[in-house]
Amino acid sequence: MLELEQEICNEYMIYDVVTAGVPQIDENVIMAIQQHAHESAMHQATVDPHPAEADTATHRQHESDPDLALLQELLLQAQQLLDTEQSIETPQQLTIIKSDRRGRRPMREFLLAPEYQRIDELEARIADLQRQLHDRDALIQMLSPAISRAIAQQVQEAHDEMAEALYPVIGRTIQRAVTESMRDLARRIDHMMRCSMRMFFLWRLVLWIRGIRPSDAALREALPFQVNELFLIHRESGLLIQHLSASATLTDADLIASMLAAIRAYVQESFLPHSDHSLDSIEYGDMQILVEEGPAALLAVVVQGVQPAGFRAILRQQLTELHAAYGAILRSFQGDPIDGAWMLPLLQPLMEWHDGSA
Amino acid sequence: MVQRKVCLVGDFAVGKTSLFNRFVYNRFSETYQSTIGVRVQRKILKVRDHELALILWDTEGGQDSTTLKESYLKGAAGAVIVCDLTRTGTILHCEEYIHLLRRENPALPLAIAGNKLDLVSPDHAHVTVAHQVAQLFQAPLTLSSANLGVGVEQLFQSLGERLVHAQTTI
Ligand SMILES: Nc1nc2c(ncn2[C@@H]2O[C@H](COP(=O)(O)OP(=O)(O)OP(=O)(O)O)[C@@H](O)[C@H]2O)c(=O)[nH]1
Ligand SMILES: [Mg+2]
Repeated sequence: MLELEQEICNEYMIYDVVTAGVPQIDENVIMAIQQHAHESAMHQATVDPHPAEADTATHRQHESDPDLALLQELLLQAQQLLDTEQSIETPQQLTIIKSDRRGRRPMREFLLAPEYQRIDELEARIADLQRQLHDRDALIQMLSPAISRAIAQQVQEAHDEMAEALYPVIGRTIQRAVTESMRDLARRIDHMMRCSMRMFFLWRLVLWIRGIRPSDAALREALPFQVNELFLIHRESGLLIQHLSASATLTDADLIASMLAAIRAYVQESFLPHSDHSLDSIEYGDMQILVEEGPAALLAVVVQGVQPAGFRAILRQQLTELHAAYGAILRSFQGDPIDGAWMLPLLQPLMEWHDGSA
Repeated sequence: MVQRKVCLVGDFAVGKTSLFNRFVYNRFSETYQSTIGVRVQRKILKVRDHELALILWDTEGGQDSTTLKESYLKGAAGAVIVCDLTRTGTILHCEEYIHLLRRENPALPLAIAGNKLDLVSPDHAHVTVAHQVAQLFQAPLTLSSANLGVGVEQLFQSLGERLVHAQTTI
């Protein structure tokens, strides 16, 4: 009996559970519980100096106590009520008035379990969000689907503006990719056509035998190739000996020649320190700088488009001839201006080089 | 136009790039950005009514002359050896740079720049040492401050004048 009373004291008497509307708690039940618990508490305070003995007394009294049946009945009702309370979804419907401070935790937890659970969930979510905010990867992972959708939508709604914004990036990339694949195509065809024939029907026959479409061959013929600049550079000092230009807009030819020499020296020192090889071409966009090295001078040409077959060989040949004829002059170059008329016959044809040249 | 290649050499952080920037662009920066490899710039000098294009090669400095890449020196018509007047070691290392530069061409026009003059007094012991080194190896010393723009024009101008008529390179 005492155990039960104690429980009631701890749990039920401490709270007056008043419902706002639903569900209805029978006021008689509450009053009966309160009264009974109060009486029992008084009884316990005066009659219970030895709890262990009282315990056995409780067991003995269980069957004969006339109140027990009523109390059990009340407890059952209270239990049912609490069950319905637990199923209440919105906590606003429930008002809890605390009437005592002792031992209220189990009851509160019991009553507010769903809210505690929600708080726990919310706390977990906040912690997770904070972690995502501080973790760059997680943040990117969280934001990227939204950003992707926004971009997709923006592209659909304002494609002109988007295209304009992206043009500098995409345009250049496409240009480079096209040039690259054109170069590949040209190289492939060149490779297959090494020994091409001049006579038309034979040429068509060769194309047919080698499996090249005439349209591809015609395209190859039509690909633009241009030599924009030509620099003859003193090998040791990097100083400019002669410069020819297709456009005549270049004013820093001497500086460019020296920079090219410095880049070559740097690459040589840093990446090829004990090798005979040196930097022989630099690519940027669809432009290329081809460098041929002679004993006294370098020949560097800036070309655009697809290099015709055998162009490098021609560069080497002209440079060799230049050294054969004027090697001594090239070697003794000190940076004083020279009248370059004598070398023009060897250099000028390179500026006008195209596929048909031979 | 007459062109001449001139190299700037010296230990790290002595102020080669600062002198180069002061001379070419007339600017100076307090922040130290170590040069990687070599930088090239051109500056036109007026030498006795003639124009001379100085092609300056600003090289990367190391602890001493042993890290200097000799391929950067090839074909140079002259050189500026830079030392830092606040660091004795950089002044004493000038000797090694001079030997290196004169090995191929003993008559190569050289100039020594005693830089960061704004950080020392003119009678500082380091200044005296710099003068002694210059005298010993017969290379003219110019005291300079890239920071204040002192002695910089004078340094390159006097070297330029000697370059026009010197006909030999490394
Ligand atoms: N006060 C003062 N500081 C200077 C002067 N010249 C250079 N400095 C400073 O010294 C530091 C090194 O200068 P740099 O010109 O980069 O030295 P550097 O010789 O080119 O160095 P490396 O490229 O590593 O070989 C920088 O912080 C400069 O601001 C000067 O005349 N006066
Ligand atoms: Mg530097």
